[in-house]
Amino acid sequence: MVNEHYASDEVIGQIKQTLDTQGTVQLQQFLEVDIYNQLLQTIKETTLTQSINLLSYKYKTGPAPYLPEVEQFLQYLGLKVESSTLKVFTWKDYMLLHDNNEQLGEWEIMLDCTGEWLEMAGGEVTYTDGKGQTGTLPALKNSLTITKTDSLQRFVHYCNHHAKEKQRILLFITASSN
Amino acid sequence: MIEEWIQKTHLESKEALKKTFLSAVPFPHLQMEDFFIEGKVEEIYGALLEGEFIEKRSDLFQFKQTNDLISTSNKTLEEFYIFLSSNEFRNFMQDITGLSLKEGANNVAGTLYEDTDYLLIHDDQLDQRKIAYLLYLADLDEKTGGSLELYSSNEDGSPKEVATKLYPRANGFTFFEVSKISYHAVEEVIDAQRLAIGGWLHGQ
Repeated sequence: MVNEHYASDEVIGQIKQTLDTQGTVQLQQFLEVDIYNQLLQTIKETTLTQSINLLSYKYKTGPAPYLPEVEQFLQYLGLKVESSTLKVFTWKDYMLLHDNNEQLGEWEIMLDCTGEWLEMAGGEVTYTDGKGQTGTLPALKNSLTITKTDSLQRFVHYCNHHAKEKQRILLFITASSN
Repeated sequence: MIEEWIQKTHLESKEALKKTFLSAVPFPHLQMEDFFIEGKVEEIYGALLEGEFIEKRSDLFQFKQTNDLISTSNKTLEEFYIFLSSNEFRNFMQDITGLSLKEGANNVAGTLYEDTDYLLIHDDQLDQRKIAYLLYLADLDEKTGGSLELYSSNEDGSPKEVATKLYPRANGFTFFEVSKISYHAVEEVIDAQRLAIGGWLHGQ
């Protein structure tokens, strides 16, 4: 279940308004704790494969867990899920702007499933319009960030040695307007 | 003029240096220790630290950098810049590399990498860059990271893996030929400072 705070018509309306005016919104403590913990367990059991193109990216990836609650919530916002992917970053991982394998859709939704993570470890997600940074997202567990990305690019900062064995776990969802 | 800057031993061994440069793998490069005349490097080190370093951060890198030394008001750095721009320095580098180079320094600046700073893999190809060079002003090792990593290439020209790691040595001068396969990176620095001055020579 999505945090019930976000389920009311009033809050849905406020989120829509924020997206219309600012193009992005971040919802904290998005999933109910038990659902979130189940999701983390599912991710833990997911088989990840190394994905490397040295000039563009280095991370592990895997199939995204099915999250009907999130899809339904996005439908309330007028967004239709098109695809989703799980990306896991550890020390020495990164994703540059020119990741040619990945074209951002009209909307990108990022569910942050990162556990314990030091801010100094890097791994922030940055959306940019090419003229200047438009927003940087440090790790924030159980947060859902919705961004209108049709004219933006995205990168993930290099994860440095302060990450140690920890994982920066991100679920990226591509969506279109209904 | 050049004898006032570069150690005599290097000036007298250009043929041997050329062989080493041309036969280096994964692509032509050379690392020379005790390169500049004693005293010069200490002056440059002190002058550089007096200046301002500006934080640079993008998807590709994170480090600190001075403004282009072409506009420095520091006398020591100005003299060093003039030397790097000189015909004598150009000729010395031409003799070792066998490349036809233009006289003049390009985008010479000090760089400072501290804990967690890095430069991810790229090839340096821009404008007419033919030689990338670095004067190191710090000693680093396997524990501190900060090596210049040179990558080998696949048959299709894409980078394959780290083939050589060059750890900075104070007063070490390192340079490599810029080409479509000159893939390199600066390994993340761990709890250390990696101070250097770098720039490029352009091709004719």
